Amino acid sequence: MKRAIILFIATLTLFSCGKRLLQAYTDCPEQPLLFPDYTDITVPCNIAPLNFQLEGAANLSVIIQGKKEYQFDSQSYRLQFPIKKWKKMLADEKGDTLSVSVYAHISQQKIHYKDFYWYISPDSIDRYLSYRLIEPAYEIWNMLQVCERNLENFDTRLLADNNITDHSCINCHTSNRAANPTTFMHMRGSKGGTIYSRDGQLRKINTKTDHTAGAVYGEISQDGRFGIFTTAEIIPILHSYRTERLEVFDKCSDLILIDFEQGTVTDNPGISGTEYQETFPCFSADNHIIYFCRAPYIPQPDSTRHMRYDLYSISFNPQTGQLGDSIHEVFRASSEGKSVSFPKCSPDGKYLLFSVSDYGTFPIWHPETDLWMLELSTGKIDKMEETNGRYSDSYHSWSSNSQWIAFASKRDDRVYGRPYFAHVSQDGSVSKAFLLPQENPEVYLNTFKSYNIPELYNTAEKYDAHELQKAYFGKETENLRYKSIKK
Amino acid sequence: MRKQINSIFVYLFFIACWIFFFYFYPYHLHYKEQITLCVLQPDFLQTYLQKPAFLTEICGDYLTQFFLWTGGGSSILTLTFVFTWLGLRIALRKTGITSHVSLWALLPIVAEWALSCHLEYPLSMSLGLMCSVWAFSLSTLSTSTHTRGILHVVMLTILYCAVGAHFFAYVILATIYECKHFNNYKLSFFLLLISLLIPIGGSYFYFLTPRQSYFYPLISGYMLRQPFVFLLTEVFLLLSLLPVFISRQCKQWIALFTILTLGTITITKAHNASEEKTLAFSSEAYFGHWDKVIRLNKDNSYPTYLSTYYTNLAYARQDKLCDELMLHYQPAFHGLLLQINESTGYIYAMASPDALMECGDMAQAQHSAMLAMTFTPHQRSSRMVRKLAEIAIINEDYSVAQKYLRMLSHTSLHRSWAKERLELIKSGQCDSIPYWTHKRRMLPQQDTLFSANQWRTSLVNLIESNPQNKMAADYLLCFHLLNKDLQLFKKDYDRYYYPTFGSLPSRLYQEALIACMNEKENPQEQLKHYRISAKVYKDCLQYLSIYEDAKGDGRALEKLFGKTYWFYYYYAQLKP
Repeated sequence: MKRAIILFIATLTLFSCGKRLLQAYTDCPEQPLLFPDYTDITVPCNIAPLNFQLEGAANLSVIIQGKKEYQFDSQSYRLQFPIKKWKKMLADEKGDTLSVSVYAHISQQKIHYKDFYWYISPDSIDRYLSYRLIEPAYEIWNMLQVCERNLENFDTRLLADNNITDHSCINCHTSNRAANPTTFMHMRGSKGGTIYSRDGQLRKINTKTDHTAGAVYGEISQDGRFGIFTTAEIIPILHSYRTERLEVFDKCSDLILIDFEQGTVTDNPGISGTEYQETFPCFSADNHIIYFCRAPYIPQPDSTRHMRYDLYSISFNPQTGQLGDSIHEVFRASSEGKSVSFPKCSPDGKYLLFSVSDYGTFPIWHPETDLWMLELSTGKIDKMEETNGRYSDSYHSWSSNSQWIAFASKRDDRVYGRPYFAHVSQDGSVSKAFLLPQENPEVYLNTFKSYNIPELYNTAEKYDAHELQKAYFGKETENLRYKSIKK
Repeated sequence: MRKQINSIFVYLFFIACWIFFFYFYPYHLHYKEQITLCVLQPDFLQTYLQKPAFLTEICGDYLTQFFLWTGGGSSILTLTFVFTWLGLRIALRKTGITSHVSLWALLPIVAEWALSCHLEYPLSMSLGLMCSVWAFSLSTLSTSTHTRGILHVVMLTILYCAVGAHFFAYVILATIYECKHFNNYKLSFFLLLISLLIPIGGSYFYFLTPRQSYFYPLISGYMLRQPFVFLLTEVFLLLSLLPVFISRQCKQWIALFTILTLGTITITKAHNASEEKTLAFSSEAYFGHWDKVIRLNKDNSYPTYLSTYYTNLAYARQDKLCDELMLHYQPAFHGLLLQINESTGYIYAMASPDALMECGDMAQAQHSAMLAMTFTPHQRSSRMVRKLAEIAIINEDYSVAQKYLRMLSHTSLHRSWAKERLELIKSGQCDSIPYWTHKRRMLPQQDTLFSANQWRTSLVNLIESNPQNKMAADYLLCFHLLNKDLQLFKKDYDRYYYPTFGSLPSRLYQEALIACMNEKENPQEQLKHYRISAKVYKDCLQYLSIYEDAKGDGRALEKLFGKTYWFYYYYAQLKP
């Protein structure tokens, strides 16, 4: 009797631990409505498991067919892939296309959905992604954090938390993506400054001088010595029409060049002055060119809808820090009734990726905002129709190998930004985007925070929120001096 | 007999507690629910682990949902106090109090009762005290000093993570217990020391400031400026432990006297009748009891911006704004539309979307609702999520509406409300709801850019889009009148009101129109043009006559004309 019981339990255990038998499932001609939408996408070979859920499912089974067959079962509407098994699968199937079959038990029905594919790209994505978590509550904030997420798993740590820094505003964390990266992040507030991190050293810098305003949007050169930034007086206003929300315009804006080694700020008539408004500068891959957006000055907010920025460039000598004498038009978006924001050059120097909206300089609240990509050698524009979503796609960044882009998209609900990735192939075509995987994808549905300014980089940031707190309260602020250009 | 007195007193104490929260303080409890949101989803609950007091925060937020029910809040709070008192009775006995323990155990409850009167004193704090007291009672089961020492340290660490600030109650009980029964002063000192150090460690682990780490889950920086007030409970706990050392105090009358005196002082001090009244207006409006809002205003001895705001809104919903405007307290335009900025508290910010929504200004309503939620202590508010969902539906912005509704559908008490709306969206039947279609007709057809709180731009835009929007027109004109801006009143009346609604102007507008009549033009023609009644004109002449006779002394006019716009215009003082 005892033996029979043991045998019975053993058999039961064996069966319950085994793979689910997928019989008597009715074929459905449609692909499953997964959240996040991970159907027919290209994924990097080092990405964390693409956990997803299927609303209404009582249980799920997934069969992934590549060189081998993999089966994953779940007793709920959510599928969480075991990370070890997932990593092994990606390693084994690198460069292959996997066919994914979803079997679900929904409302007493057993459904087998139409298969979709995952192409496992051998191009890896940068290991880290930083982003800011903030309520999309327009111009006022309360709690905000800057996080660093390891894209190969679900580890996340805090780079900044304004709860421990006087609730001051924290702006974008930006890396120059060099092998030994230099990063910066603006911290506002009475003890704030621009946190400049290079070779493990943190500096807190006051970028405002007697002649120039403080730095806002910008980028750091590959060697970490120079930074090109916008100085702007930013004004938020509201739209009255239905789903239109916030408009942010620059009352005035110019560019400044900061030499972090010499501690100087310079400008140049080509990139400053009252006749034009310049903003969103970035370096070319070799740092010999600075791209930026420029629009003729018109009084705002009365004419905000007529404010359209074109893409310009100015030459730059990264050895001397000298800016060129003349500027060049790169892309006249205004002729197409569009306005350009946030140009970002691919590290291989082949492409310039930017946001395009109908007008203005703050595309994240413009639902029509799309990402466009300019091939620098030919001037060809790719409107990235496969990648762009129905609502705002903006705040993008490149991975160090130029094969991946990350950007904030509001495609899911128009209000809350989420980080998406897309693959850029050798021929420049950009794939359908996919959402940053989470251990529990429901995180996105149950949060009031937007994922803001996603930034890819390969080496973990050297500091964390506690060190930043020390820098905020304890570190002396370095002042920069204005250096006029001698002709 | 003494025991019976004690029992009767304890019973009466808890009955009084229930009655107090049920009859005298219900709106504070309702409002506590409105500034909380408990989504019963694993990932949402996981966020509680990012801060101390995860256990009591989860339980507290879950139970706070039921504060929405009439009597729910008072019953839950009273039950929490009863269980805490039961635990305290055991704990005090363990420390060595032998007589009248039931009474002494009431002292910390008195403090919790008083503290619970504050809007930002969450239920999780009271639950924290309860857990600490019971945890102490359990720890005393161990007889070995060595085991107990380890147990105390482990318990303190766990308690800090699970219940937060009120782990100090455990420290106090354990310290006195060790001193009294085992003369273990070293351990007592050690416990005191680590209880001071644990929050410092917590501040590092939980990314809190050292100050925050000592009083979490209380949040500073909002209305509760001094979060260390929670130590009142610990102070009262110490008082209740005095009989351990001074046996003379173990007298019934001392215990009763202490409870009654301290109870009266603290609860009287903590009870905020004015705020309760203000919250009554806000909550009744939220529940849709607009008649009650008007009734509340009738016997309101604490008029505030908010009470006026909701009274005006209640009358506006009945199309009586102009008729009633001068009949009650008006703090200039502040009682008409609420200005929102970073220094506005969340009570005002949460009320602000209501009038905007009624006028049809969904853009500003949404802006205010988002900011209001950002301003609440945990940046979560069931009331604002409902508001945002409704605004999104009116705007036909269904994807974000579904996000909010989905979250609400995972709460205990907003579930059916949310599911009903989700069904309507999914079945495409949103147009069948008259309120939504009515509001959609009021939406602006043209986009205008304006700064927040630019009321005229916003209201004019609404009227230009829909000239039949009488509520927006009344709000616009009353806004000018309350600001004593007759020039703009006349301009906007001629342009937006007269062509559509000018055939039968209310007495308020007639009074204002007389006040801004052009002296150069024929008065009779103007009276005829604006359809100003002979009665109003006659009253005006009488007003002027009394004014001249009294040489401008308002007291002479107040009896007859105190409720007229003329009186408001000449005698009300607009303060910044």
